[in-house]
Amino acid sequence: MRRVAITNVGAVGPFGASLDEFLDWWKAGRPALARAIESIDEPWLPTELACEVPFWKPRVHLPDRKAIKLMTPRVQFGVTTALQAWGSGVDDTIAMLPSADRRGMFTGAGVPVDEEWTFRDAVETSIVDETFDVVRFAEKGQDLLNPLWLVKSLTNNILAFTAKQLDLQGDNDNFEAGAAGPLLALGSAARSVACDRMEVALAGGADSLVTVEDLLVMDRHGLFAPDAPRTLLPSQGGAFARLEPGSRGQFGVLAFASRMAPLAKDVAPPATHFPPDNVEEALDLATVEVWHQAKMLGIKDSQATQIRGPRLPDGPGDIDLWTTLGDPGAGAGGLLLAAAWALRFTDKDTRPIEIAAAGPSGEVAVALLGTLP
Amino acid sequence: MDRREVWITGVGIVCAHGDDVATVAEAQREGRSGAVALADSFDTTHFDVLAACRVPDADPAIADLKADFGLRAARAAISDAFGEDAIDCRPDLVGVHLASGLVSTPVTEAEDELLASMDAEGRYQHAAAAARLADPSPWRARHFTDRVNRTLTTDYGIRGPSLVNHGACAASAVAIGLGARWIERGTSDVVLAGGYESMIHPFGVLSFGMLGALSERQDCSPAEVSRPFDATRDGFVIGEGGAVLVLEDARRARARGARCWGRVLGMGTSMDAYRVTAPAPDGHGAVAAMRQALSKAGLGPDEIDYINAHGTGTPLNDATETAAVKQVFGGKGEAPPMSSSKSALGHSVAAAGAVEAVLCLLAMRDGVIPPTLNLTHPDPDCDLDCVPLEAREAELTHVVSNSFGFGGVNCSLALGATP
Amino acid sequence: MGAETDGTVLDEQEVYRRVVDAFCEALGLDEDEVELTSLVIDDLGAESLDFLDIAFRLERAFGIKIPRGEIQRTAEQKTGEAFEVEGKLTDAGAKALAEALPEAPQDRIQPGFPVRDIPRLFTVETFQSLVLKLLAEKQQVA
Repeated sequence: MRRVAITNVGAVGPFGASLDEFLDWWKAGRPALARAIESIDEPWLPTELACEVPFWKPRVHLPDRKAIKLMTPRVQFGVTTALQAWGSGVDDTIAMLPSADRRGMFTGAGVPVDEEWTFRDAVETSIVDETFDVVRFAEKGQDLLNPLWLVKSLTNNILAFTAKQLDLQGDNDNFEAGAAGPLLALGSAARSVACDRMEVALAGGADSLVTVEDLLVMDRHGLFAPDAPRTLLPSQGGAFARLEPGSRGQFGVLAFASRMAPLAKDVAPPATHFPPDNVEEALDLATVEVWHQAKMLGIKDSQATQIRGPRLPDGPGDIDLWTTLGDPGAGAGGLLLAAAWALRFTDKDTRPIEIAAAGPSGEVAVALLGTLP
Repeated sequence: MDRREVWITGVGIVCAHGDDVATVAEAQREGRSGAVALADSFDTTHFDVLAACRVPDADPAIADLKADFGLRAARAAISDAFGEDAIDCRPDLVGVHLASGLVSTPVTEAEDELLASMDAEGRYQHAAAAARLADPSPWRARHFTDRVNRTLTTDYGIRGPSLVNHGACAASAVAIGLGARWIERGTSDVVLAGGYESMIHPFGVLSFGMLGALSERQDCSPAEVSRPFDATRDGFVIGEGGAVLVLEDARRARARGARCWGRVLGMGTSMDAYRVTAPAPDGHGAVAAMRQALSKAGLGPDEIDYINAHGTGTPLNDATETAAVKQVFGGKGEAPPMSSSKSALGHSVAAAGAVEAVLCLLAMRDGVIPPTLNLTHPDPDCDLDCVPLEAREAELTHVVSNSFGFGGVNCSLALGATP
Repeated sequence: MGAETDGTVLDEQEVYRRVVDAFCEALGLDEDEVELTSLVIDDLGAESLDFLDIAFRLERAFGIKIPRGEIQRTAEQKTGEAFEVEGKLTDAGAKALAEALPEAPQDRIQPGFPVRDIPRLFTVETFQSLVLKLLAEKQQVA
């Protein structure tokens, strides 16, 4: 098995559209980022506050201008951070790159939820005598639907557009497991590089909860009520990391494990992307597994810094990102990678960093990052 | 660490031929089409689509049809493997890796859910939309595409990993390949792997139709519309269904005296890095996927007896796939026979890879290569042996099944007959 | 949508402005990158899928319906006899296509030209002419 180094990270979020801006926010003590919502121009919204990517202009970040129309904001964030993580420095002259079939990519992405809005005009036109008329929908309604709507709603678009831009032709997977998704992606990417299947792999994820339908659903669940027991500050963004074969002393992936939390038989579909309440046992099991792997590498668990995704119980010494950054859905798993990078290279923290996140169906993923032994 | 051998010890399938394995095998041997008129499903005036491959007993009253297909296939596969409706394995060593599809919005829901958001003038109202988004709304539930996984893990007390793959039309083949990897490296002893899909509703048909992917042929019977590799092909016919395989560590399966349907020998995945909805013209992604599957399986191209093609029947796919197969297996006379099951069952999108994996297992068991139906005017660009019109008897030991998807995702599975 | 164009005759300037708009939005271009003579595939970078999007945007901008394959069909109808043989233009086919696409680079429309490459000959003007033709037809009906 080869050692796996993390050689670069890209990040987009309410702090800005680059890793540097993330690190600036980190150095400033992670101040609150909530602002009045600007990106949604709808007369009726259940909340005024959210953590949006400020001054987001996709054309500044995405070289394939034509593809932007096929990308929802979450896909734009994902592709942008993946391109940033890939980097464009002197190391990347074509001659030095591994061949395309040795370049992989693994993503964690949120579910596209805006289909209803896509259909709005077409459905309005198709109402006859207060019922939806299929014949009229086909005759008149479909003229109001952009023929490319299916392409825009594909769940693997972060992967598809990044692969096209960077000519990645190797191992790939797309996990839909809330905030756990990007960490599952990290685990698969690390294995792919460790087993010598890939020479370089991107791993991470991005998402946005600042969409009309997400906001409506959250409101319906009382998450914006002033006295709500559980609250949520909608956010957006994500991050990707670049993984390569590493050597002793480099920053990299030490261990990875995932577990499922058991679900009760009568459990209702989750209201939001919140993980179920009983993830603790699975979190403990995955953490034990990760440290078991680490011990085999000669690493002791006495000293570690912990960062956990939103809605997980705080661990000892846990760093809280989400109170001020908001909850970026699946993007949180990606931003854990950016936070680990900040700990290592801004705070010069050389201890192992334990990152963990959970998804709505009880998927729990834990990764240990640090100095490769 | 040695790779453990992966047996397939149970199968479940729901498709246009029905949900009974014997009936599906017979239909495949007889070269029957599962296509019916799309107009049987809803009023198709202005739709320009003639045929669909419907699951015969699909109950339109079921709100989430694709989940129903997935659960039926999974339960059938579990019963097939264990002789009862329970999984005989330590719960944390059982995994679930399924694939589900793209947009799924049956028209009944459009009526109920969208109309509820309209005001008296038929305008969409945000406040009304918020008011109806009550929990548990079936619409919301459908956004959680791991619904089948959730039901299976709770009903059967499964405690191992549970994932949903979203690789578009390659998704369920990828799920089987990655599920097999869990067994190979010891993460799981038993894995439920496969996929399910239902897009035979107005939105689903339009989504592909507007992209020009569906056949618009009207001058024939529904059974004659799907024409993979034929010079007159003009698009695919939409299908639906689900298929699940029980993958099992071979040593464990042998010890408990389980029946072996066949083996997963290797998977290859690749990305085209070309376009989102069109294959790279040189087929390099498909070539890479097939080569990788062969190399994982430790097989040479000359050891493959049959290729179950992706074979959608779109002008681009079939020509590109033929060119790719030639690069890996050689030209006419060298490459093994290749046929498209989509000529009979249509394209069941995310379910297609798993459905076709089951068809491959049946082909190996019965020694029957399923035909490509309606292939009467061979396209010079598709000049391999595509087993036109009639099934052919042959001993099949190793087969390859191809699945290529939107987003440029490619997956090839190498499967082996019962040892 | 259609309401804007109903009953009012758009001057050519306005038609051009809306056509350019549609191309800019569909292909992610700036206004100054689109010219009447631009080849839609070779100069503006369109792929086959983008033609669906361009047609959709033009339909909404002008309240018209553009049948798929319309431009090629016009040429085929003119030839009467064989337009193509085995995917290549015949002499008559090349002549008819040249007449149907007067704005296209005429030197490229030769017998033997592959039919599947016809969209490579389309310019922004091809679409503008089509829009003007469909608007005139609509006017007549009205």
